[in-house]
Amino acid sequence: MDESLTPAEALALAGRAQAAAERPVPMPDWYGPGIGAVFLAQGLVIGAALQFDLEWLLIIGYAMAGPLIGALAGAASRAGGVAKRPMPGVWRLALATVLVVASIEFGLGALGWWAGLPLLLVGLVAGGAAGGVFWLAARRINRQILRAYPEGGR
Amino acid sequence: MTGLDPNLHHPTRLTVLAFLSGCQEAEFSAVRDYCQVSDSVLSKTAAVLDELGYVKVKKGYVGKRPRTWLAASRAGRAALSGHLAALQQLASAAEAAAAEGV
Repeated sequence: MDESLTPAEALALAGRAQAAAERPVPMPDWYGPGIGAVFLAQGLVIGAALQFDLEWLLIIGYAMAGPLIGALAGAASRAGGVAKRPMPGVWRLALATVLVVASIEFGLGALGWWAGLPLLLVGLVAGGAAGGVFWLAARRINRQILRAYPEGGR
Repeated sequence: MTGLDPNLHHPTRLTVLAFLSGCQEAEFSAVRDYCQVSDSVLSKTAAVLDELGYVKVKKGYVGKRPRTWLAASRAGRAALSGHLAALQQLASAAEAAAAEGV
């Protein structure tokens, strides 16, 4: 690199570097299915706990998603070599995602329970549906990022 | 000018710190690829910025592979912000002087 820069050149250099680090990149391909699998497993565990009346398994079922999703999200945020800073409003988006996915999971669960279906099956279907919705949403977000920043692809 | 930081006059240092200020942390190879410098140049630059307290260097492993992560410290972000503000003033002054000369 040239050692002498005018103020304008130095500003442009720093601006480009900051923008490159801030540019959104798609989530890794395993992120959507990975989180989806967590919801599927959670539905299965909760369904099994309710069907076989196992309180300890129910506690595991409710508590398991947070740490697993946190670990996967942490790994995904570092997968491209650059851990992004949280964008403004990302917490609202994350909360909305959790609420939508939880509504699907619990809504289907309640429907299955009301219909008198086996709770293990209900849990499996509800978890699978919630996981599938999350996977589709992650794919859609990735496609939007790739469309907006074609050069930002991995 | 008070905000200008002589430690950031070097383009590689400025680029590395600006890149790191745009993210939480970045892996050594990602910074090297963006800055288009060799491992040794980035290593020396990171060491200088680390010594100045502008960058935090964290070494770890992913499986058996060693990984180095770099992150801009609070002091580094503040120094960069002051430096950029001072550069902006200089650039504006130069622009104004050029306009007056026309």
